[in-house]
Parts: sequence; structure tokens; C-alpha cells
Amino acid sequence: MWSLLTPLLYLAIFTFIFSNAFPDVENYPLYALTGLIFWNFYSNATTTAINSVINSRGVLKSIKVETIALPISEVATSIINLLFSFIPFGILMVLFDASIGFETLLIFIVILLFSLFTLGIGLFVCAFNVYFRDVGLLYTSLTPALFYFTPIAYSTSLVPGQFQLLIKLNPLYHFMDIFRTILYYNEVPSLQSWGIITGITAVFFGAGILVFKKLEKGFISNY
Amino acid sequence: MEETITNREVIIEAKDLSVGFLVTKHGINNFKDFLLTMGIKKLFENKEVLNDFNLKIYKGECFGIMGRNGSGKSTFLRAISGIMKPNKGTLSVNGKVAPMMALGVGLEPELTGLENIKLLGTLMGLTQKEIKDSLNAIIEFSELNDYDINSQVKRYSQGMLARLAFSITVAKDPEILIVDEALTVK
Repeated sequence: MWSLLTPLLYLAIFTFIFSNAFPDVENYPLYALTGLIFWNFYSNATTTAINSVINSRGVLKSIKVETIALPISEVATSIINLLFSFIPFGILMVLFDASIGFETLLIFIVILLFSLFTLGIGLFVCAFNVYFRDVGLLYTSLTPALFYFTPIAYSTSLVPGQFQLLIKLNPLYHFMDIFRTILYYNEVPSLQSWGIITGITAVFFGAGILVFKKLEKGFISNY
Repeated sequence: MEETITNREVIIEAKDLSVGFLVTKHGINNFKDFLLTMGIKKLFENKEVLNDFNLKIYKGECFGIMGRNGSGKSTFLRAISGIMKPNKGTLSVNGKVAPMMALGVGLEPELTGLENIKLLGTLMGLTQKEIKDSLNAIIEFSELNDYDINSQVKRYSQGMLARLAFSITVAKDPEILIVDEALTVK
């Protein structure tokens, strides 16, 4: 229940303060909410996955457990929380005049891809965090910057032209874009958008698995 | 005597066994140093703890291993338990293993004794039915009363922790019980 508090507080701040700052964005609360829900999932899932192996080092040293199951279980928990959060957020979205149609169901395919992408990041950072504890601290420090670097509270149309390419280098941008296409604009995403997020997911998930499996062999001497 | 031993059933056999793990080289212990050294030096190396190790343990034996610190005693026990995988050679384990590597490990302090039985039982590969069936036997063997078993484990004494952990470990009726300084009470 408390996991819903953070996005709700952010939403309250965005609605009452940033609505006036971004008057060009139509129905700003809905715009912010469609980004916040998924940012909250990403942030929670990666943070817990990154520390999952270190937090269970006692068990891993003593019982035969597949190490990779720990970050996977953390991401799975966050998916369950995300699905539960759709109940209050769904009500809020309806209150904010969101139109729900057949296209809305496509969100579940994007959630699946986004979860694999998130798991990839979680596995990658988690593996390095076992060897170098400052990796987790570095990630935690960079997360707020990533939040502002991702168009969650603002529209990309407000970003100056020379920085548009930079914003698009952020993989989260493409996920937020497709989430909004479905939930905010109520449209079917283009094939290009699907292609981009599928490619991003394949690269990050593949790299995460590969690095985790490679470094897993030394976990026991670095707990 | 030799004849009698060779006729006995081997329960654990290590043949030319090598077990090791990946460690960072050059004293690199933070990510900044890792990034600065990347591409210049080899950053990880394989450290062999056991090298061409051979051993046979027969069914029914109570086997003790002694050695200097860092000689690989715990590593060998972890290899038997399946926690670590051999790099070379073979390790045959012909029985259900119950490892008890450290006192109270895996017990979650915020959960009650009862909740911990369910959690650890699951981690050790017991099915929900097996846990349910052996619940009373575990509680009885641990000699914890109703109040204690429903209290958070963080309130337990070291002795209570040891009894509970041991009871859970032996619940799956193991053929091989591994005890690695697990009953050391601080």
C-alpha cells in the first residue's frame, strides 16, 4: 500500500504546481500520471533487484538456490505491485478523462517488454554491485537525474531542438513515448515504435543475462 | 579390512576435483578503479581453492575435515551441497543433502519461527505439502513452545536459533548432513 504513496505525492505536486508550469500540455495530470506509474515501477524494480543478491548473501552461501532467481523475484514482485496499482490509478485516469478502448490492451505487451528491459538493467547492475558496492550507491545517486532526463513531468516538445537527440538516446524515453501513445493519446503505436522498444529490450535484457551469468561465478567470494 | 571398505557404498566421491571462483585482480575494490583499469589489465582471475582433490566418503560414515584457514574445507562442503560448481574433475553425491553452513542462516529476523519454517523449507526445496506434513515434527524437535514459535526470530536466543535452524535442516530427511561450524554459539 505504501508503495503507492510516492507516485501519488509526485502526482499531487505535479498537478498543483507543474500544471501551471506546462500549460501547453493538455490534461496535464493524466499526462504526468501515465509516466509516473511506469517510472515508479522501473525505479522500485531496479533498486530492489540490484540489492537482492547482497541482501540474501547468507542464504546463498548456505543453501543451493539459483542466484538469478533473486533479482527475477524482485522484478516479479514489482510487476504484481504495478498491476495492483492499476486499480487506484485506473480510477484516477478515468477521473482525468482518459478514454479506454481496445488499444489500451496493448499496454500489457509493452509492460512485458518494459519488465524484461528493467530486469536486464537490474541484472547488469546487480552483478557489478556484488563486486563493487559503490555501483549500487552510484545507481541510487543517478536515479533522480534519470527521472528528470526522462520526459515524465514534461513534454519532449518543450526540449530545445539541439537536445532532442540527446533525450532520445535515453531508452526510457521510448518506453514513456509508447506508454503515452496508448494511455494518453489512445492510439495504436507505430511499427517503428514497436521495433525500437523491442530492440532496446533485446539488447538490455541480453546484456544483463550475459554479464550476470559471467560474473555469478565469483559472487561467493565477494559477498 | 580393505576388503570390507571397498564393498561399502560410496556416498560422496571427488575425483581430481578443482573448485574455484572469480576474483578481482590488482586490488580493485571500487567501480571507479574498475573503469580506469578496464581495457588495460585483465580485471578478473580464477582463483582455485581446491586442486585435483580426491576423496571417497562411504555411507554411514561420520566424516570430519580439518585444515588451516583458507585451505578449502567450506568450499568442498559447498561443492557437495551444490552451492559451488566444480571447475574440473567430478564430484558424485549419491544422496539427499542437507547443508548447515552457519547458525541461523536464512532465518528472516522479522518473521516468526513458524513463518521461517515455511520460508526456509521452500528455499530448501520442500513442497508446501511436505512443509505442512512436517510442521509439527519440526516444532517438536526444536523444543520451542507455542509462544516462541509465534514470536519474531530476532527475539530468539542463540540456542533457540540453533535448535530451530537444525530442526528445519533435518526436516527433509537427508542422507547426507553437512555441518560446517554451524553450531558455534557466540
